[in-house]
Amino acid sequence: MNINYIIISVLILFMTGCANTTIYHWGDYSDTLYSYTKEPTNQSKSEHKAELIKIINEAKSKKKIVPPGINFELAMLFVTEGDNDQAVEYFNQERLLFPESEKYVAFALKEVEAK
Amino acid sequence: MAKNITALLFLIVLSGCQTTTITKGEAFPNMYGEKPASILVVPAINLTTAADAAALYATTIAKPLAESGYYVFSVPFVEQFLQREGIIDGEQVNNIPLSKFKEMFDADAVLFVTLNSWDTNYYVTGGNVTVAAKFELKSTTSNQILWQYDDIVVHNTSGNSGNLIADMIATALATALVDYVPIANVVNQRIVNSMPVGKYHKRHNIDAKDPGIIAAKVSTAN
Repeated sequence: MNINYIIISVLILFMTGCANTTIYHWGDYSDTLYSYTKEPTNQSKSEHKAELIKIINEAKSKKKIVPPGINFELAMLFVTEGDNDQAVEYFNQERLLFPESEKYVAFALKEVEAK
Repeated sequence: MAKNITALLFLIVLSGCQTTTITKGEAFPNMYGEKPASILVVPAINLTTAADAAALYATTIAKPLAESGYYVFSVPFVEQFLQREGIIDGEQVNNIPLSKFKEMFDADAVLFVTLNSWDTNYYVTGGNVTVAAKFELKSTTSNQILWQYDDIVVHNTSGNSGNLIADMIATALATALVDYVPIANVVNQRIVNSMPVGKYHKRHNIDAKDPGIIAAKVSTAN
């Protein structure tokens, strides 16, 4: 009985402590990006790519917005893999979410087309 | 004349000793005047002995800026782009006219950072990581400094279970094998907190009266 109370109060403390007030859903973005930046191997790259895809999917289920640059970064990774169709899709997603990205998305698209 | 100079110096020294706090609006009027919507982050100028400091900064800075309501251009993309142009160090970015970033990416502002120190300290019952950094946000249209903050953040890495031996071990482990990503997160977050928020934040334009900005840390802005 007592232990239950303690567990519940600790749980409540934890939950209130972690009250989520962020605008966006970030997942482990900084961690996988850091690993990829520090050691750009195929493995760290695919881990970062998987994290970006996870962020986009989880944002939907958590009803949060995908952060600026996430769709763009995923698009760039598809470009390096030669998958231009997927890249264009994610570039457009970035532009839809954030009108501020219009010009640099257009710039990136032009580079993709030139390839 | 000499007297005047002495008096003036005296005043400067005196005012330097006080922590005067002002509001965000008083500290950063240019920010409220220009209302930048997007920020482009360029590579940091790393003056520290920690080779990793610049990469840690680059991979953790997007989050606090975006959460402050700004559109942030993909940091790794900007880095790659600059690298192709032969720019690797933040110092070299100073040679590029700011208007170029407006022209190419439609960025409203560029964030420059100088990392002055990154020290890991470990002592018997405690430890910390001390980071000193200078942040400068410049407008790509007016070339003005919009926001500036010069700060030293001390992040405690001590264990605090109350058990001395356990704490000593925890501190030693935490300080030696420390995962710096969360620390870089904390440092960036604390500094960016002083920045007026942007259009995607619900307190956009109404935070001008927020107090607590330490005037000395704003130093030469305006």
